[in-house]
Amino acid sequence: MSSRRDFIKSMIMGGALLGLNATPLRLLAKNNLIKITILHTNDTHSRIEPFPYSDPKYPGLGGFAKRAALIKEIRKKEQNVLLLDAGDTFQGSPYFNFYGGELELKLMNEMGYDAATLGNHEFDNGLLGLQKQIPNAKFPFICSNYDFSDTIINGMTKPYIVLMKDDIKIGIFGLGIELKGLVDKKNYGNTLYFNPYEKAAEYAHLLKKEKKCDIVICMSHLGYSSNDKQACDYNLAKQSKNIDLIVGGHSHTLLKNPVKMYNSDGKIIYIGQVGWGGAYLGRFDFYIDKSTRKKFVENNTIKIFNNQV
Amino acid sequence: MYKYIFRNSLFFVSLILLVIACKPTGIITKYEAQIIALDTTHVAKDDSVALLIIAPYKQKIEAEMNQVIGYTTIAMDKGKPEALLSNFIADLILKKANDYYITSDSQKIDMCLLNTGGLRASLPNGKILKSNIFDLMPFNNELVVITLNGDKTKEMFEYIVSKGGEPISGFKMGIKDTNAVNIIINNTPFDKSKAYKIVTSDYLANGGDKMIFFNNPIKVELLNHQIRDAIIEYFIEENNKGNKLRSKLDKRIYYE
Repeated sequence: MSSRRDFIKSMIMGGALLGLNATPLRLLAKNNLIKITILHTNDTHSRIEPFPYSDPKYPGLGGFAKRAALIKEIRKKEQNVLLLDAGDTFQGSPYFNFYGGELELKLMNEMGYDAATLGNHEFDNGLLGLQKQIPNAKFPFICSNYDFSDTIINGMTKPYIVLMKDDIKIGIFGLGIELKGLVDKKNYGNTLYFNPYEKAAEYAHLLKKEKKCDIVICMSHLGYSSNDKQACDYNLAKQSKNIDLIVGGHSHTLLKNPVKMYNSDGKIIYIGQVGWGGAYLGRFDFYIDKSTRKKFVENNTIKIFNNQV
Repeated sequence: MYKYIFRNSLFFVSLILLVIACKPTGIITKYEAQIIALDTTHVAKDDSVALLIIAPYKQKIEAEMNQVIGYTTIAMDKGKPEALLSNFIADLILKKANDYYITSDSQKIDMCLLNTGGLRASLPNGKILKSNIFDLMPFNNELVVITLNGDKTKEMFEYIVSKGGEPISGFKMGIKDTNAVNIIINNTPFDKSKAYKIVTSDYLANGGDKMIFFNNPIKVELLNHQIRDAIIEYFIEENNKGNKLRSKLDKRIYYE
């Protein structure tokens, strides 16, 4: 099993196996585990070029071409790769000011994104801007708590999707932040916003219980944490059911280790978020036992370096 | 237990590997984590297909950004209580905002208030490129006209005192201890019984930089123009008239 070889190789290359629990390795050897590799980004903010070396936070990191190279490498090694973005692809460099997001979406097509959700900055050129740009994406935009029925982008987003990887069923839905007060009304028009916790409960139940998904993923642009008034990933995770993973955005939080929590049913849920500007790529590896459908999880946050001096 | 191994080479990718061990029940009972540095010369290279996609866009942007939009005769930087760049930008914003503004009550915009933190780069002496303005003002903030009553306007002056000065235009004020004194707006002393119109950014109007005096104003009017666009337009207009731009200190904010 090639994934097993790579796994062992990466451990050896990395140095000593510092007290690493061998359970997942032993289980892998049983050959009935399916590995699902989930890669995620958020708030890439039109950072086509890497951060400059003078950047105080992410010097020399990122760049879409670097990310594309890394993702292609991972795809060579892994059979079941899922690539997701949690919003705010737009805004932050002249590439957006000049081209309105067209280049960002073309590059995401090249990287093979499976889905993305809309962040507040996706509305920066108004609904007209979205109407113009969404067709450039070969992947769907998933919005479960925005209703665009009375807008010009009606029908251009989906409330959820179900994907098959190997014979594992993966359900994905997406949550957006309240636009009122954050985005100029003229830019979101008659978009209706619904309580993200309620919509999460509705779609997670649909995906897990009715569609029988093995993994349910929420792409969220709510932000990792907030005061009590505003919905956030941390509180969503705590009170949720039927969600296995939240890939988050908006707050530009760099979770170097994923946050592991227990949901309201006492089941484990993970939250990942990788800063902003495409400096990092988040990675979760879910191992699923074919016979019992039990999940085992590994997480990586990959720093994207720039070697173009 | 977490064990971190850091490698700072550009040719390495740091990878946090978290392995979670499970009991047969599927409930996660323990986990261990470590950071593993991987040799990744194979991923540290840019993807050639992506670079090809980017190239034509990049060329056009660089051509656009390298456009000369005007000239200065002095280098300008921000500072407190006043500074060349702060005065220059606030003055041009007040002028451009009044060009854009269609007043409903014959009162023009009296003042401009911006924030020093929002000016992200200095301007050189000489040729000004469009990229200089993107460096100076990377944000896409919109211009907003706020009408404040006298009490709130006074709070604004006190805020400026507390900050030791901010980019302003349309008025002069002294700082005496912790008070704003001798406030002259458009050659007339500040009148607390009057309402004033202030142009600022939507970011500040929404309470950014703790400008809470902008909360619950008499009126909010959007100009539907971005600050950066206003600056670029101003440069191009003045350049077309053959004017090179300068700035001076005029004691608009001073310590008594």
